Amino acid sequence: MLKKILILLCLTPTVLHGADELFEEFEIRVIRPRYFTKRHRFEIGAQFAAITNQTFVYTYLLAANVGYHFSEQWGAELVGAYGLSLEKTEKQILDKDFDINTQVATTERYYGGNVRWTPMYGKYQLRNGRLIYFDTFLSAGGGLLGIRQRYDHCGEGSTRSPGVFDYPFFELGLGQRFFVSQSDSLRWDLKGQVYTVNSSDSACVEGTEGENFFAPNITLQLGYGRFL
Amino acid sequence: MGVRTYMLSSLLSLSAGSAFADYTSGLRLFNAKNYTSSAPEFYSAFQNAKEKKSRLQAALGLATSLQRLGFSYAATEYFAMLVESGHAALFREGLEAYAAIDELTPLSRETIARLFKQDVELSGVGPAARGFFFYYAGREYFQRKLWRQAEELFKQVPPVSALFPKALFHLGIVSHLSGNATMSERYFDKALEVASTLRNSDWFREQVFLNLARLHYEKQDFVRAVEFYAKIPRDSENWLTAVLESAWAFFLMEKPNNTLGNIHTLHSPFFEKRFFPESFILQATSFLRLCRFDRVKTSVDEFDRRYGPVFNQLREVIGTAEKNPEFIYEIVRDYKMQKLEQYQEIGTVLDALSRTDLFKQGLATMEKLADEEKRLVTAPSSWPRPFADKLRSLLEQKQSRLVQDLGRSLQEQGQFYLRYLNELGAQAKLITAERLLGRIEALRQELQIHTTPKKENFIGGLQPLVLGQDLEYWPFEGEYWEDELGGYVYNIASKCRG
Repeated sequence: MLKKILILLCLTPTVLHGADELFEEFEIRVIRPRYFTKRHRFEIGAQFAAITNQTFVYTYLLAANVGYHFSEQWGAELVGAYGLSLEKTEKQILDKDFDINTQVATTERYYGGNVRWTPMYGKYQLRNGRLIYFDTFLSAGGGLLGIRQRYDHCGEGSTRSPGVFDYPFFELGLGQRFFVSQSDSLRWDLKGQVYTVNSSDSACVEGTEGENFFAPNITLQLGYGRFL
Repeated sequence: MGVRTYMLSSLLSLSAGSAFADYTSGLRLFNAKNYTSSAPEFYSAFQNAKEKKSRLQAALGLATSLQRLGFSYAATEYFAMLVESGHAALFREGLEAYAAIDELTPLSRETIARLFKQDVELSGVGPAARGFFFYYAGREYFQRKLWRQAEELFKQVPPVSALFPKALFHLGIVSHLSGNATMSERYFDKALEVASTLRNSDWFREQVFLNLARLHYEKQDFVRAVEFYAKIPRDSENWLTAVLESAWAFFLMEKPNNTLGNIHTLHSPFFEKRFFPESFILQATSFLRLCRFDRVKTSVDEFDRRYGPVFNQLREVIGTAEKNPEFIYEIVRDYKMQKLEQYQEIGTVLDALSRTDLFKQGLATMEKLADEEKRLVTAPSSWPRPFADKLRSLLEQKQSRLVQDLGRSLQEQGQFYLRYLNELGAQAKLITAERLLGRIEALRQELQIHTTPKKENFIGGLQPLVLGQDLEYWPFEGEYWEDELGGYVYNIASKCRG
């Protein structure tokens, strides 16, 4: 399998004299209409997401996104996700065998927006000669993240009942789209989300004073996008 | 149905005797659709009939039975007898059968050409065979470069005929050759409109596009020429021809970076075995125009390296083929089948010969003839030995004639390539001597290149630049990518002073 990446460090010029400045050190270039254009197109998609950095639970979410591409390089996206968490075996062992109830707060949802920058556009050639175009993007954004507090660690005397608390978060991401046709793409995103939690929200007694601290989520998303 | 009606109505005209008995038996079996049994009966009647007319009627029965058994090529031998007989009704029957066979399995030129070796009463050509007759009769005149006669015949091909688009195409060429470019373009446009009725319509359209491109090239409308060259798809056999010819159009538009880009495609390892010697000369000339003299030398040296060894071996092969046309057919066939171990030096020429329509059609006909011959091996045991032997011998003769015919055509084409290489070799010497520069200037003045639109910009792939279009750029760093072929554009400036 061969790989070739073209790094576009500046806005793609649309006239030839501009093109001449690109790669001007190369004596021979291929110049042709772009296979996949994103400029002024909407993108809708659905992804399966998994939070990868949790010790005692698995969290899976279904995410949907709507985006708009202002240019080949720049775009913005709204995203929303909702899911569930499953306990890992380790948590169950601690609970049953050692009577240790671990404190667990799980991500149940998030919604927000981000800005995307796509500096790289490339292509792969498969063994059968078929070409797969792809791009690589970086994203930055924020929104609200819903954390379910379960109070598993509190004893019977606890006055707290499980609930979801929304916290603001900001995120940085990296991802790639693989263009399977001139409208469809498969994509993956790796996102680092950081949100602020107030420790009083996880305290077993309501009204306990707490302080804010940062908590991270590292989310891997796999999905499909359609360009309109 | 027409054949059967004719046979029934003319039964009484047969002479008495064994031929009559065989004929009636054949006819009875034929009407019962038992063609396997009717064929040998008709053959026996054909052999034993004493009168010409009786023989022809038996030939009609035999040919029709063979046709229905799938022995179309063997059948044409007997249908040809009817056409050549001079008998009006049989002429018509034979010609219509020929047309029907040709529509299903295109016949070889040799098989068709024999029909036109006699004077024909045109009123005798029935409606079902008009397209076939006038198109191929036109083709015969066309081959002999008798444009006016060819044109008259092509014009008589009716629009309902499957050969109508091809007739329009030939009318376009004839008009072009007669200097009437406007009429030529009109015919080509009409041919495109009706192309979809053809079995091989994509190939046909490409031929029309190539001719329209050449038409505009001659009119010095190079932008339009390039537009038509760009319509040839990359996976087409004609694509490299379009790439080379459009490189010339760019050259005359004074766009050497596009010219060199196209040549870069032709010189990629993907096409190492292809025969485009002119590309080196055009490359050298383009570099010469940019005053890049070191590159000129490299191009000429590469031409010498690749085509220098070709001359002697090609001359030898053509000489042998002149006495023995079968020889060149065999080596081209073996090359095509990758069985050829000798004549490596002329591999590119053999490749070009193997890609000619003439050879491809000839090879396809050979395969069909061989297929019919093979099926004779498993012919019904009821067939008398002499009948099966006769058919086998007929098919072998046809194969032998076709090989000779093809060999002669390939030899002529090979001779053309040799002359072409000699001319290019002479040009290479001129370029080396740096005398071509004067010629280019003369050519520029002669063609009034300054009147051509220099402002038009082209990206790779013969496509004009469209403002606002999103483009992608891939630098070439020594690695050829198949998808990039045809998209290269050079980025070098002239080093000429002033």
